[in-house]
This record gives sequence, C-alpha cells and structure tokens, in this order.
Amino acid sequence: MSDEQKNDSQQNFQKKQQGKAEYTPEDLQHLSDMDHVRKRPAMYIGDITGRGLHHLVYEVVDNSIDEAMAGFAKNVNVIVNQDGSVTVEDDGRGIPVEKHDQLSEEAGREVSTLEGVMTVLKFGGKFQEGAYQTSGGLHGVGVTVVNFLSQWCEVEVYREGQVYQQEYERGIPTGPVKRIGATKKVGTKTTFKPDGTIFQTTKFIFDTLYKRLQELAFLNSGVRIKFYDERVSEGDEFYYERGIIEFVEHLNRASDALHSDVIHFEGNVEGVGYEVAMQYSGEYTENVHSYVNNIHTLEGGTHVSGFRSGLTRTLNTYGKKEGLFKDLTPSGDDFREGLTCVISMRVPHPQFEGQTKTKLGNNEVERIVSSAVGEAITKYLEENPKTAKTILRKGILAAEAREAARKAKDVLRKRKNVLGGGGLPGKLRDCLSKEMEKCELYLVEGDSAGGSAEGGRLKQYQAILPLRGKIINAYKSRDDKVLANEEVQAIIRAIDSGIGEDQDVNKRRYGKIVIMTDADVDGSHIRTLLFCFFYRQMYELVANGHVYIAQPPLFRVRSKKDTYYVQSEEEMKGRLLQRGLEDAAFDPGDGRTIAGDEMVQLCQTLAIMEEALIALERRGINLRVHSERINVNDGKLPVFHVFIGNKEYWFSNRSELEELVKREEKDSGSEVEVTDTPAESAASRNGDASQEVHVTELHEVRTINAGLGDLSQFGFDIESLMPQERTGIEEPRYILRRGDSEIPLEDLRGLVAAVRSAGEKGLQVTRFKGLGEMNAEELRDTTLDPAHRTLVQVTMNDAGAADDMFRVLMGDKVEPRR
Amino acid sequence: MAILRCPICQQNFDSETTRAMPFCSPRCKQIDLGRWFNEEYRLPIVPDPEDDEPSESLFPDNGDANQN
Repeated sequence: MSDEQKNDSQQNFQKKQQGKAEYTPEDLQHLSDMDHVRKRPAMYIGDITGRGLHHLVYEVVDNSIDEAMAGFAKNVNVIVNQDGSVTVEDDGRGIPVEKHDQLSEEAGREVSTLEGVMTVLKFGGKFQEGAYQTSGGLHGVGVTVVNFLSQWCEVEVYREGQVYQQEYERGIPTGPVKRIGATKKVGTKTTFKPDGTIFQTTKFIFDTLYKRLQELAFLNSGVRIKFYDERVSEGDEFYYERGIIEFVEHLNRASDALHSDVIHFEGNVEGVGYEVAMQYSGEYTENVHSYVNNIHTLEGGTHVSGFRSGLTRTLNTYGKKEGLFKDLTPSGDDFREGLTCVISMRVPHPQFEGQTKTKLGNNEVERIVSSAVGEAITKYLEENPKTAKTILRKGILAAEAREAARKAKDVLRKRKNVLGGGGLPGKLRDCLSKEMEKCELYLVEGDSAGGSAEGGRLKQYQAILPLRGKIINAYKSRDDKVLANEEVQAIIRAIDSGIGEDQDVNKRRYGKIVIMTDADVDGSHIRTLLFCFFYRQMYELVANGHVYIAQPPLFRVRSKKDTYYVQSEEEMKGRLLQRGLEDAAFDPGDGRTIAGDEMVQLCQTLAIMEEALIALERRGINLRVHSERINVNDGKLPVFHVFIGNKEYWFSNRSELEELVKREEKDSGSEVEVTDTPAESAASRNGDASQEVHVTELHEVRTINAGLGDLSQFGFDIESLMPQERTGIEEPRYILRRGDSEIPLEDLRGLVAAVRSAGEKGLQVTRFKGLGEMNAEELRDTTLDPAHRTLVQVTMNDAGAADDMFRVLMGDKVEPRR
Repeated sequence: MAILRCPICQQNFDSETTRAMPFCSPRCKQIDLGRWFNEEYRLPIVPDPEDDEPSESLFPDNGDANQN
C-alpha cells in the first residue's frame, strides 16, 4: 500500500467516526419481542436454513412431550399438511384460556393466558420451578417464537368440554380468543405455516421429521407419537415402552450383538437425571448418541466425557482384577469399539457450548455421570461374568489390532527407509536377476545350512534367507518354539509383496518360495510355523501354489565305485536289503538252504511282520505270552481283547465276539452295549459295567496272522520268531551265510536286520543329521540345482493343517483349562 | 461357499464374502499379524527320550539293526 492510499483510507475512517459522533436518543430503539425474533431469528432457533425451519416443529412437539412426561398427555400427533403447514396436537391439559391478570394489567385490556403463551416471549410454565422438572426445547422460547416466525398460525384448545381458538398473522392475533364450540376432547392443537420471507426454505423434509420424532419417542418412553405427511400420504407411529433400550436395539438391528441383553441403568443425582442403555456389537466403530433434555448433543460434552472416563476406568479395573490383560492394556477407544450407546440426561440448567450449541458444558455433570457409570457397570460385570469376558475380549482385540497395525507400518517403513540394499533384510543373500518368475527364495533352516546353501546356490536366480527357530521358555518344564519377530519381518521384507491389507501377491520378488528344513523334529516345527504364517498372512501365495518344500536327502552312500544320495529311510532300508540279499543264503538248521527268490520272499515277509510285531510290543503285549492265547480251532492269534465286567476274553475273529454278545444278551435278557473304550478305564470308572462289552481290536495282529500264514509256507511256525532256551547246545539255531561269512541268529526276527547289515558292508552310509552336514556342492547337487532336485508344492491342505494345529494350541488361550 | 470359523474372533463367516481369507475380516487378520510379531504362535517342544542317547545306528527306530 502506498502512503497516498494509506492517507485516503485514514481520511475515510475519520469521516465515518465523525458521522457516529452525534449520538442521540433517536439512534436507540427498543424492539418488541416479536420484532426482535423476526429481525434476529438465528438467536432463537439457531439459523434460518432447513435446520431452523424443522426446529419450529420440534419446539411445538417439545411442549406436547413436556405435557406427556408430566403425566398429562399420552398421544402426540404430527401432521404435515398439503400446503406445507404443520399441525401438532396433543391430549394434554390444554393451554389455559382464562384472563391473565398480569398481562391484562400491562396491556390495559383483557388478555387470555393462551394469547400470552403465543405472543409474549419468556412467558410460560417452563420458567417456574416445579411446573416441569426439566423441559425440552433448545432455548426454552417455545411456541411463541414459532408463532412469530409463521406466516399464519392457529391454536385450538380443548378444555373443560369447550373448544377455544385464536389465529395469528406473522405473530399478531387477528382477534381475541373465541369459544367456537363443544368437545369431548382435551389438549392443544397448533397449526402453523412458516414465513417464507424469513426462512431460506419452507419445505419440510419427511425423513428429517420421521427420524427426530422416532428419536423423541425412544427418549420419552410411553409417549405415542403419530406422524403423517399428507403430501406423500405416508406416516408411522412411534411408541416405545422400553424407551432407549429399544433405541439401542434399533441402532443395532443390522449388527450382530455380542451379548443379547442391553445394559441399562438410570438414576438421579443432585437433580441431574441420567439414563444409559448400551450394547456391544461385532462392528468396529463407536456409536454413541447423547441427549440432554431431549436435545441431541452432537458435539458431546461433559455427560459424554463422564460416560467415557467411567467406562474406561471400570473396564480396566475389572480386566486387571480378573487378570485378562497380558502385555497391553486397552485404551478408552479400544473399549468403545463396537459400542452402541444412548445417553439421555435431564439437566435442570443446561449450558450449551460449541459451534452448534450442542455441547453440554455443565462441569458437575461429568463427575455425576462418571461415578454413576462406574457403579452400574461394575455391578453388571460382577453379575454377568460371561458377558463381561466377551466385552473385555473385544477391547483387548481392539488394542491388539491397533498395536499390530502400528508394528506392520513400522516393518513396511523400515523396508522403504533403509539406505542401500533396497531395504532388504541383512541376512538375505539375494539373487542377481530381477526376473521375478525365474527367481526363487530359499528359506533355509539354520545358519550353517544357510552358509552351505549360499555357496551351493545358482546365484543368478536363487536367493537364500537363513532362518532359525527361537526357543522360548514357556513354563517351568516346557520350552516352546517360535518364529522370531526378526524372522517374520525378514520374510515379509524379502518377499516384499506387502502385508496385511496392503498386499499384492503379484508384486512379490520371487516366483517360488522354497522352504528347506532338516528332516527332524526341529525342522518340522519350523515348517509348521512357516506353513501357518504363509497360510494366514500370505494366503494368496499358498493358494496360487508359489510355496514349495525342498527335499534334501537323508543319506549319502559312498561305495568303491560311486557316491549317491537316498531321500528316505524306507528307500535306504530297501536298498540295503536288496544289496544284502545278493548271494545270501539262510540255513534254518534242518538241512535245508533257503536262497534266491525264496530268500527274497522270506525277507519281505519278515520285514512286513517286523513293524507289526513292534506295534504289538508297544501295547505291552509280549509275543510269547500272546502266542499262548492262540485259537486252537483256526491256529490264529487273538485280534479282539474283550472285557465284560471283570471277565476277560480273547478272540481271533469277529464271529466269536458276536456269539459272546448274543449269549450275554440271552442271559441278561436285555441289549448289551458294545463300546471301544479301553476295558481298563471302563472297569475303574464304573464298578457295575457288566452290561457293557468293551472291545479293543489289535489291528497289527491281523498282519502278524497273515505273516504267520506266509511263514508256514517256508516251514516256520511262531516259535521261530522267539528266542529258544537251548541250554548245552553250542550250535547256533539259524545261520545266515553270505559268501564266506556266517552270521548266527537266535530267531527269525533278526534275519532282515542281519541281511541289511550285510548289505551295508563295503558301503559308507552317512545319515545327515541336518542340512548343515552337507557341504555346498552336495547341497547343490541334491537340493538346489533344478536339474536334480525335487520340489514338492505346498498344498492348501498342508498349510491348512498347520493352521488347524495352531487353532488347537491357541484354543488353550481362549478358554484356559482349569 | 463355505462357512468357516475365524481363528481370531471365533465367529463364523462366509469364505466367499470375506475380504481377508482365512479370516472373517482384515481386522482379525491384522490381529493375527500382531501375534506373529509378538511371537505368540508357539509350538511346544515335546522332549524326545531317544534324543538323550544318541544312537550310532542308521535306523534309530529299531535298535537291533546293527546286531552281529
């Protein structure tokens, strides 16, 4: 601004000041009530938009509700007429129509009380303590303001069998209050048409009125509000005996409630009335509606903050007392997730603040509500421990989610911020190529195996990320294995397809993710953890078949000629047996020699039987003892172990069992229950279990019986499987011959092992105890090189099974065992 | 369509309509992720008695494999 301009504006300012200097009584005017309301409508009804317009209806309805809450009216009818005017009628006492002394004296003429109510501001029952305990209406200005802001208005009063009526135009009565007839009705009916010269719009909105009238019916239980809009021929009737309880049910109608009952409490402290209804649903948002004297306090205020602090404090105290919190304590926000709540206050002298004057400012209310909520909720939690747990768990999950979101954000940010290396984890030995489809990420168990894998990989396309299971001391006597936080982060950052909601499987850095673990218990733990992690957090990766399991060999076999690798124990056993059988001959000590094909068949038979025999021994059943129970009719060992009461039976076939059941039924004259619960536990549990037949089936004995059948072809019976006491005889019972060597055997069960052992001669067999025992070259030849390796795709079933396992394990956490 | 049970909130949900398989909601998936970060998914290590006496046998399952 130039100096010249500055001078100009200063002069103008001075001129204006000069004009104001003459200040005379004529400059001042006293506006009548009506003129003031019509000149400054916003001071009385907030504004002159649609909001203020609808407020006119509420002012009139509030009067009727006051009458109803005072016990004088039951019904309120609201009608939007064809011409856009609104009629509100109640069946209350009706506004008095008699002459009002004070007003008549002031006016110098006879003024009816009704006329006073309609034309004199701050006139009415609301201002006398006791007339209404607390009344609605934003500013307590009531129907007078409605009259002043209407093009026309008409009031009918039904009182003492008469109908009285008065009409107004822009607030001015067109005549005195007249008696126009007789009636049996009581109440007041007000019809008004808002003044279009004052309001920006005079069109009432059906939905807005509908919602507010329903809300009023919820807030004032027992009041029946009928609403009808003649313009659209639509309407409804609102009547809620249970008040805000039904309000909460209404708000939660589309959500799944976490507990069936609505928590409800009310009371009055220091003249401040409170009523609260609340219920938790499965939603994640907070849905708290608060009202003071029927006014929707959109900006909240002291009653809402009192409610919040009381709720948070109480739930925290309860959770701590019950030991429900572990690492983190939920915040107030967490406890209000999914909360639907209606708070309805009755405050005698409310102070409203805020932008829209819908924020309660009375300080005392905060303290009153907070302690009332604390008391009521504490009582509820104590009386409803199951719901209490549900509510607390909801808050804990909310806290967990908040914490998890923060951590996930951290991980992703770390990925982006780390200088150089593109934010990849430090342990990752990345491949050179960027062709995602061709690249593979090997997740390798153990650092030493990671080292071998790094040395043996095809650097162009294979990346190595070494992982370790972390051991956590869980209880005194138990250790747990987990996937360490750093490992989880490393996997997420290496694959780099995001995590949580911000995830895109197509952005992953590798075509295949290959899990490579040891073939031991540790390895299977890590595999299970990884399966579950991928299934839950990188579901698409598994669903689209991008996750694989490497198949490292279990054995290295060196002979004079070459070195080869064997994948599994079964395969190794088979190979050794085959090799051992070459020029092996068996001398059963009866002059025969079993060799060639016959020897192969004998060994196969014995190999199959051996597993069954071990299974039988694991049950604590000795073969010699069992052999004494042999069925003399069919020559078979018993398969069924049966208890009836304290009587024990052994049967080699089902028909014998069935015969026993029939016999028992005949003897006892009633049906006999057959169960497969172990007889021992049944007997100890129930002394009188004589009516039950407990059957244990020894499946492996079927295999043994079949094997015994095969053995008889070779001339052996069951005795051949058991060591014999042969004192004084120096000759071995059986002899395995192979070339020049002779191997003595006490029984047939040792034969297969002896043949395998013979097959191992001249070989150097190494069982890898872990991947780390393989050198880089070995690992490449067997497990990494696509030309020789075997990869097994992880199916949804595999991964789902790991997920199931953790569900079972975590189930302990949800319902702790007593 | 399959009705599944969410591993986090234990509520049933429809696999067709969820936005966060195998969970009912992205929210529960998030909670699960937090549990991975917190190392809450633990496998109990069952002590293996055979681990105590390291066997030189190739086949620890049947100890008589090397008998001569």
